[in-house]
Amino acid sequence: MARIQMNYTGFGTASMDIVVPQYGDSAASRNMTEEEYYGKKFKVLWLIHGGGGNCTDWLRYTELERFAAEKDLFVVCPSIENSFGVDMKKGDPWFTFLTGGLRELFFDMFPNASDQREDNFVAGLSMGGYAATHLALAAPELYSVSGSFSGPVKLMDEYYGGVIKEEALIDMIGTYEEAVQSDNNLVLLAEKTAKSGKPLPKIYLACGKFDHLFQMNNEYRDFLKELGYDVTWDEEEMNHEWGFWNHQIEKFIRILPAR
Amino acid sequence: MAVMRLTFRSKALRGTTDVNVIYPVKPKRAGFGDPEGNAIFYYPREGKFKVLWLIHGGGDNYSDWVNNTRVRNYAEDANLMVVMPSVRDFTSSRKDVDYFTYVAEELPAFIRRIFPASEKREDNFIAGLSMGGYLSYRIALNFPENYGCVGSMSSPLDIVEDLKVRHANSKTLVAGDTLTGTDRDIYALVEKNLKEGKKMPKMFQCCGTEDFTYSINVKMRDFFRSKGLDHDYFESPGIHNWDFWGEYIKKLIDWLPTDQRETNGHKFQ
Repeated sequence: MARIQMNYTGFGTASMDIVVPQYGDSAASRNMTEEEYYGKKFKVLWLIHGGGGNCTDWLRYTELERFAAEKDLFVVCPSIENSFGVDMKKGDPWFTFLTGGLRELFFDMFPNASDQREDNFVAGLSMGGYAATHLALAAPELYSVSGSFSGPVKLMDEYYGGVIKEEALIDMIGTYEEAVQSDNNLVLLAEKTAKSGKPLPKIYLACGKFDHLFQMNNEYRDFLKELGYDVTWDEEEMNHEWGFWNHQIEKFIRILPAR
Repeated sequence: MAVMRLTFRSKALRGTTDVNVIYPVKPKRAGFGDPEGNAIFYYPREGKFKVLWLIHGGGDNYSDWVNNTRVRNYAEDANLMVVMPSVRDFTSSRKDVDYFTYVAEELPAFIRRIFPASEKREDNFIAGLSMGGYLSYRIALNFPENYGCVGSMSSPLDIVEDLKVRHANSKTLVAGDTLTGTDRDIYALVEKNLKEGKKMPKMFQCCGTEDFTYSINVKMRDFFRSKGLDHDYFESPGIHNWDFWGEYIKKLIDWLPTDQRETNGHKFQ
């Protein structure tokens, strides 16, 4: 696989890492000519870092490239700051960018990447897991599978007055009263999307048993199942840590459809 | 605008290598720009990009053009993609790695696989400074059907003389004499193309008047002129350094037949 480390004009000059399929890496590619390999569209995984991280994290702390090679995936890792991938109350409109401008830029730049829903997947760890689930539920027409590893998927109840300083949450998604009624409440959003008649994303949820978010993820899994979502669940005797995310990105890529 | 470092495996180099790529993406701005918190979208590209294959000098690598000049701004203004590889061996002295094939064939093929980069002769330009300019001429004259333009800055285009005078004891470069009359000798390549009636790329050549390659450049300029080639020569006071190349990379890009658009320079966003 090839790797791209990019600075581009986004909200200011922004950074992004991209894993690019290269002929000869996957078992599948060895059974085809180079012409055939590049002649077919590639699937795309949008992969988001956690709070306090940036676009380089997934490539530095995991074996992402090796796992991505087995499915010949483009993997796009944008830096999204600590935005949770939402249109921030006080800050940049990240959701609009991730589902709009960034896709324009990416698909224009890489004509071999498929922009079709069935070929686009979104995943992330911790904050990025929330962002991925939010993106897939709010824009189910763009993504067919989402993955959240140790994500604070029930952000509302647990976080106001909790782990993140309340001022930071208010700047991001507003006061509790505002946020709980908005699409940033993934409980409300999942209900809304389930009723919308749109094709529902397949949802992968995973959390370590020793993670403080374990209970929340169990509840959210059961809730999604009741709503009729196709949920894949995984848990391991691990904490909120890169060892777990390295396992999970491998398992997640394994459930994605083959090219 | 996007500037990226691409890392990939090369067969010709039998190893992993880095390339800087300048990609002219253009954002639509509703107003002043960044600090307003506005959504951002981009203008779709029109067709494939013209490409400048831009090579560093001896001892440098893929990063030097971006780090030492404003090539990024000039490329943006010209709507031009710029691809900057790393080259360790300009004269093909080593048998285990093949930088000539890498720059001339493998890299363009890979770049065109993944990016919307034009394959057309008239959209492809190759240039470099010092040894990179020599390699550019060597490649362009070996594959005159692949490049619309070729450029050199402060380059030892007479490689035989340069190797004899400056690198007689080099352990990494080949001996000058062995190159006379071969496909690494610019004089011989010009004669060969003329003899075969092949259309050669339009040529850009420049050198500082205090540069140690100045006399070689004057001699080569006179040779190109004597053959009636499509050739533009520029000189001004200067030595073998980035002050000179920083000035002439702008002149080179202005000289290329690019889709010039409104110059916005290095504006504050």
